[in-house]
Amino acid sequence: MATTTLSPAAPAYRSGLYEWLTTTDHKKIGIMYLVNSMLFFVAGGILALVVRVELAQPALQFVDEAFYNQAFTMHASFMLFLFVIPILAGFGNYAVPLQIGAPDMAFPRINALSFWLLPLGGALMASGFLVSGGAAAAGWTEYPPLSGAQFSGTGTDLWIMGLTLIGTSSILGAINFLVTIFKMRAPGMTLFRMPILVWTVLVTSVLVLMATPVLTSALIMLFIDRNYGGHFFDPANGGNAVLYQNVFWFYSHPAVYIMILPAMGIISEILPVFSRKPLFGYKAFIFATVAIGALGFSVWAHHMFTTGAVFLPFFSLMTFLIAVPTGVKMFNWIATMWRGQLTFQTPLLYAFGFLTMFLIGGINGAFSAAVPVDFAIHDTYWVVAHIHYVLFGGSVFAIFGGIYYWFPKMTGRMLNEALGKLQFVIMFIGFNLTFFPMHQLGLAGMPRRIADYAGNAGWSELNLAATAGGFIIALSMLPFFWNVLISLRNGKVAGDDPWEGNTLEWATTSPPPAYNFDHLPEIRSERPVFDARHGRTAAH
Amino acid sequence: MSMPSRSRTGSGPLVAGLITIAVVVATIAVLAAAGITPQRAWDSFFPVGNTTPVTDRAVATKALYDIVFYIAVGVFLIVEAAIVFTVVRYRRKPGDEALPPQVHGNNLVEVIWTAIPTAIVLLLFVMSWQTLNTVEAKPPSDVHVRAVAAQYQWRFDYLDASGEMLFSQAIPTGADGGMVLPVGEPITVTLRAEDVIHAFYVPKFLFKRDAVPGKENVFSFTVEEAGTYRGQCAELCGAFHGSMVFEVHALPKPDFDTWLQAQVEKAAATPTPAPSTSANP
Repeated sequence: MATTTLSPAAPAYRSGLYEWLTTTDHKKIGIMYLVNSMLFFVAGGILALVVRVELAQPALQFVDEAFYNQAFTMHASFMLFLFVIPILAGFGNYAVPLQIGAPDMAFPRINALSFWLLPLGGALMASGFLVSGGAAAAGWTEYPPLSGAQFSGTGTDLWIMGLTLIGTSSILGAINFLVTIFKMRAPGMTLFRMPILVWTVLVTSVLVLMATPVLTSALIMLFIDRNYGGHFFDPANGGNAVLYQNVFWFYSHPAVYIMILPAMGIISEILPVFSRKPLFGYKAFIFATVAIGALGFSVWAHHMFTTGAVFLPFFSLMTFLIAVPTGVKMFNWIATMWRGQLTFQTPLLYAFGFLTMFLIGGINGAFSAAVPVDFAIHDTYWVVAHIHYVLFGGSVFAIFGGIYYWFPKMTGRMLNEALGKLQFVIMFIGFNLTFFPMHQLGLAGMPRRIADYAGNAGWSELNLAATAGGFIIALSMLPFFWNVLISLRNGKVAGDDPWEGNTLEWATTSPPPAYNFDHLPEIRSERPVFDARHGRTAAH
Repeated sequence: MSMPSRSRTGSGPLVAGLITIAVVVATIAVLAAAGITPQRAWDSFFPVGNTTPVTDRAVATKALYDIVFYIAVGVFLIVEAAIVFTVVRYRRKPGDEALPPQVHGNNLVEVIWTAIPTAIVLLLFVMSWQTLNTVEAKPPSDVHVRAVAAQYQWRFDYLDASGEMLFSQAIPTGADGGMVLPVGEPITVTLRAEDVIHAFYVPKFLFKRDAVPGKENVFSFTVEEAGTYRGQCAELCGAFHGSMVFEVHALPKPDFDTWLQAQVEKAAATPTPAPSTSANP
């Protein structure tokens, strides 16, 4: 069954580096997305440690205020635009064609272009550190007038240019995903037999296509204001400073779903496999994904409740409502594990981390939906805690789960289980020690984005705890990188299907050949490989 | 076909367990060294940041926070318990060769767990809307202060009934400075920004509002307890954003009247008022 003996139909591989630099193979491009994203993850992590070290105690010890602002601005910019979004696109790139039984993405060369725009945009953004005045420093949101020419230097222009390229990469990638998913599914792979990851990439691509051009327009307006004397956001000349926030968040709130939906997709791949059960409520899960995507466009102004320029009840209601489809997913995941046979390999541990931590990120979001409570906690460390429980507790745990899950497919070798579990435990503890105290810091009135605070403000101990946690997170990366290094060489040989998977990528070799499949198993459900293994009668 | 063993044997779990214990012990040691006890951790959540609300609006906000907090803790405990129970109870055991029942869904439970969260969030929405109306209410008031934010300083202009400026308090903190307010009187604050966006934030008021260039934001509240309250800019406004602090001094009404009279006389005695009257661009 399922063992495909293939000689690549493609022309002979060119060797080594040249092959990687010129490849249009979605698998190689997907892996390059992952590697590039991990590099920016490390850079963003180092910047986060700069922030945490400075905040560990009152007064300024290590950096000045100007560099501090650059550090947290570039930390967030790297983590959001160059780590979470592209690494999820990387998983999509790697897995989507395999999971729908396609030989490659619809437009392989545009796929390569999408990828290569990323390191270019990232380098452009990071080069701000080299110019006089330093990198962008007005926060990753870059609100004018602070991000205007009067208050911010050349680093901001580099930030705008870099992010525009990254946005273009996303848009091209989204078109590619949509065409691939709609036009290149294997015979039998109907829409309602697609793996959930493919569904989440589909909805994410729609969000990218609708939202990212809006971000680009905001960036171009900001660029014109800064360099050519435009007055889009200049109230002294008939512009409107809050307009930027509306346009920015019209992208950046859906962007939160761009950063969490594919992560939910990864979790929805892992849980059924390690429970030996189908995903509970497959269609409900898809409808919930679509509902989150749709509602995601009607909640942007909840980032702006305190501006006094927002119709509060509408955005409050929509923000509360988006908890419902998210809750449905949580219950579906639990029901998937319910009465299953769980095996605790590393991917399942990360899925467990995702469920327990993302739950907190969902619950503490409800506080901000209650507008008067948001007036108290907005722009405090509570919000920093919230976003990290969503994007670290949610997305990052799912990303590591995905790496442990697909590494055998990508490389043909297993990652070491003991090192993987070690990393999980250290990261889980470090994560909570870093970000949980930020709830209390926010409630105690500590605003975010401040370089210094008074020693008698009562914030010192919790900040120290958070900084200790930050270093524990950094520590947890050591076993991970060590694991990747040793497993690439000496890892246990994975075989085609090490996890008893459900989806089509497990029906080809590890790593798969160019153009992926010689022949495919019959596709009669959302678990074709499961069906081939157990026969349809056992499953239905 | 080669397939790694699915049994939970090997040293992996043991090693992971030992390291877990080591890291947990180290974490507790760090927390204890920093003086964080379980009681203090709880107090920091409840009531809001161990804060007694000092304005009428803050009382309403805190009441709403308490409700949201209790519901959140309830949801958290129930769902986390369900996750942990499932993970512990339904481990694969030796001899589990046959597949577990392949359940694909159940419409009844799915409707239930869609309907209950919907009911909860609609309830929360209605309650927060009611509180919002309280917080946003703007009753007539005799005390009208215009808070003007600029990099990196607050200024408080005191206005008379017709909106004309009586005097300007240019020192944001200290015994001679700060925003001085009477207790028990409705107060109207107008926010203005001269350069970039700032935000007026007093943690004990459980309230903040942005000061946006080109737009005046107005809000009202009544301070119910005399005291000095720390305030701070809460919207990133540049390199020294973190040092843009101010204080609110809430005085009993007679003390406030005395202070106000003294300030008005002082302003009249000074030939030229220090800061310019109009910050309007």
